[in-house]
Amino acid sequence: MAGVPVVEAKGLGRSFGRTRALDAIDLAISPGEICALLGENGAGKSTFGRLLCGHLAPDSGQFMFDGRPMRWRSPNEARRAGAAMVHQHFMLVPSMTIAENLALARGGLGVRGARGLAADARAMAAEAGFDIGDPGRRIDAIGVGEQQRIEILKALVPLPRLLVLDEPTAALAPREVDVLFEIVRGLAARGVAVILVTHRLTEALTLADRVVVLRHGRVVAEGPRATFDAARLARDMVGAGPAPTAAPLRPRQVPGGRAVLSVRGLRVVDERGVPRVAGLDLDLPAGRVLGIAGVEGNGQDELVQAIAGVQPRRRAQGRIEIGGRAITDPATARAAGLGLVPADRQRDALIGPLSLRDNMMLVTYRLAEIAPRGWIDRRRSTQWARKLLAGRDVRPPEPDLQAAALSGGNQQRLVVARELDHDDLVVLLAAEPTRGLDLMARWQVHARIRELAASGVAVLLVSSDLEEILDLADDLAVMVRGRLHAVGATTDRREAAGRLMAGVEMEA
Amino acid sequence: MKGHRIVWSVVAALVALLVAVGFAALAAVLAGSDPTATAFALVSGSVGSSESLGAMVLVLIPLLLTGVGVAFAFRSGVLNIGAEGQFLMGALAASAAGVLVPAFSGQVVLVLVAGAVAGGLWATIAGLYRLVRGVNEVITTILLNFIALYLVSWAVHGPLQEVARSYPQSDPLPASARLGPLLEGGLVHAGLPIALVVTLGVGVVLSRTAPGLRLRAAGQNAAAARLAGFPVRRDLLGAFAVSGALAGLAGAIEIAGLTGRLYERIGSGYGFTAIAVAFLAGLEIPGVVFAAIFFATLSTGAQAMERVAGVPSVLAVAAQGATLIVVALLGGLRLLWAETEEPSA
Repeated sequence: MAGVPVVEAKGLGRSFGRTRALDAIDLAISPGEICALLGENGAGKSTFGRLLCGHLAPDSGQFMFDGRPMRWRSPNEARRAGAAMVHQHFMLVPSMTIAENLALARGGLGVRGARGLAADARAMAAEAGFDIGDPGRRIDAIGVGEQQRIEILKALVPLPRLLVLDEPTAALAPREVDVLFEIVRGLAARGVAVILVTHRLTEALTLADRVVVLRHGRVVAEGPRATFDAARLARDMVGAGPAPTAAPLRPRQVPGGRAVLSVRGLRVVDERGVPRVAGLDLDLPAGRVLGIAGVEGNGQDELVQAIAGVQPRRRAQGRIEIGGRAITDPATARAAGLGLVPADRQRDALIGPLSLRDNMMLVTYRLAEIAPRGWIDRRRSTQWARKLLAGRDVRPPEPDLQAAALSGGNQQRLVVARELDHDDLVVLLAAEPTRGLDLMARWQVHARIRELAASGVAVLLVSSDLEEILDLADDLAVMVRGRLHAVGATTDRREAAGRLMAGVEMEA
Repeated sequence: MKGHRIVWSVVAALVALLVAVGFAALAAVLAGSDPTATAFALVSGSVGSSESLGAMVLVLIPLLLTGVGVAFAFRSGVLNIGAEGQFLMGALAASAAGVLVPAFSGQVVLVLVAGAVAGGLWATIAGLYRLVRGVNEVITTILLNFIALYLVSWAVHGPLQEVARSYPQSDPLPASARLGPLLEGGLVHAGLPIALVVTLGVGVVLSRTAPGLRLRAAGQNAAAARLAGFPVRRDLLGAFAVSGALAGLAGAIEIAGLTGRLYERIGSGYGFTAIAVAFLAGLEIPGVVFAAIFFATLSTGAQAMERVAGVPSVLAVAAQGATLIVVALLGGLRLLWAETEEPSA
């Protein structure tokens, strides 16, 4: 690990408006080193990565790349010089195919036809050791997990000197995480310096050679992995005050009785006629939490959309009821008391160009709450939004700010505040509700979900994070190829669920 | 963020102004005239005297209403480029309500309402095509423009032609169906306060009411608006209707306030310039007022330019085009700028 560091930051800093996102960071990373950058939402982790890869310009300090002081003029320049970044928010063109997106990342579509592009894509995948399936599929027709793989693949060919991974496992199933880790270790063995931006302690402790903890834009702890344990990391990340611990699994009376959410014979096929949900029934009584685990792309997205009321004619059939009322479109679902946290917040839950205040009103009953007669009072709605945003610690809690200006974790907090923090829910449909959230926020969301269930809300929790489901769910099922497989309460749930999920993975 | 947006709008407007004046000067040199005299004519011919100011306001009124209509549509995710046709249908219906209905006091209200309803219905046709058959409204609204054009032509050669039958035009509307002058003996008619009040109203609806929020949401991200439970389809049809009604009202005001009768090619081009107005304004309703003043000034000034300095007024149209290209370019630059400056933690 000796020799010239691939990248060395000296007093690197960057502000956004009045917020000092990153303050005088000194950090050097050697070839072949895996460095985990830990911190809560808003600690400055992503900003650091974006500075190194030319997405942002520093406003103080400098950094050396391969021993020479550098100042990227653009991400492209940084990429050509060997600094690549895999973003938390996918940088893919949804209406184009996998092959076309990979070609764009290599510099352009050129004059090659679809077949040539597909061959290029397969060659690229083979070089990186990835399985990408049929490269002729469109990005908007594949799941988030697959999109993430494509996103990572883009950064690997040609091989970079420095690779920044920004929350790369947010959408991956456990086995996919293992595969990713193997890939990262392989890259490090070939001399690539890797920065892993994450807020998952276990990832840092499993993968990294060195751990750096950021808080409020400053390095608060740094050292080889062996010098850290989970408790110390959690303390360092959160700072003073009690370290968040997983809430104890208290035994509770699991309610039964009449279902408030019922799905009968649901079938959904995609645009190409491929079945995504293959005849699914479920009943969920009030106060019960059903956790649906599974590898991304096994029909969870279609199931969530259908329950939320998006049922394209000729592609969806079956009957869905909430509290005895038939759900035929999102308006009926919301009127029946549905709270919805969609897996893809950018596409389904947020409107980037609108203000935080406007985004807080993006549910019929939320809008009616603030504008019962259709008139939106500026002062009242601003106070209302600020209170809700502050309640979930959205930073900054400025109702006039555009939603697109928030970091991913803060966007998720906004959606959670809008969908979970009120008293009229009947059914909560939460897909990846803690995606992008740090430890403390995740724990708070879990506490709120328990609280809602205790007050009689039926919760359907869809997550690719098995730990989350094991923490929260009364009942557990794994979704495999459009079907639900119940996991009995008596068996070892973790192992049984893991087997089901992995089985799919091996067949795929 | 908001501050940046306003600064940017001001920069865009100033650059657009410079481009327009520069273009006029260039045109003057090419036409062999004195650039200073040309620039002077451009200014004095539009805002230099009370008459020229009045003439400018007469162009401003229809541009303002159609511009607000187009901006409203685009903000709601409706690509209505048929303001021209909706303006014509408004003018046609207004003339019919003025000429065919026996005169009664307060008839002008009927005339204006008829125009707005006709424009709204005309746009709703395109809305229904989009909702029921999924036909892109860019196509349908363009085609409906042509149909409206020929309907007006047919009307002034047929059922609405003057009793004397000498020209393809309608009889004048009775005084009860006209909008009076704002000031005794002045050029400007009562359409100006109507247009300003309507503009204010549309701005308030869009930014301060629940339907306005629903429309803005659907315009930016229809999937998210739908999952919010908003009645996206119903709202969409409403956006078509309101946007068309605004252009239709502009047509009615043109008849009742200015021309007093219907003829072919009435107000020709306002509905198209409206698209330019809306984009120069960045689709912000308050901005439409300034953008409409800008285009109205350019258009009336150009006529003076032709009279005084001998520079063909068609060059003013070219100047409008150049202005738009510059504005579009600035918009693109702003996006790039926003991209690199996007904060994230």
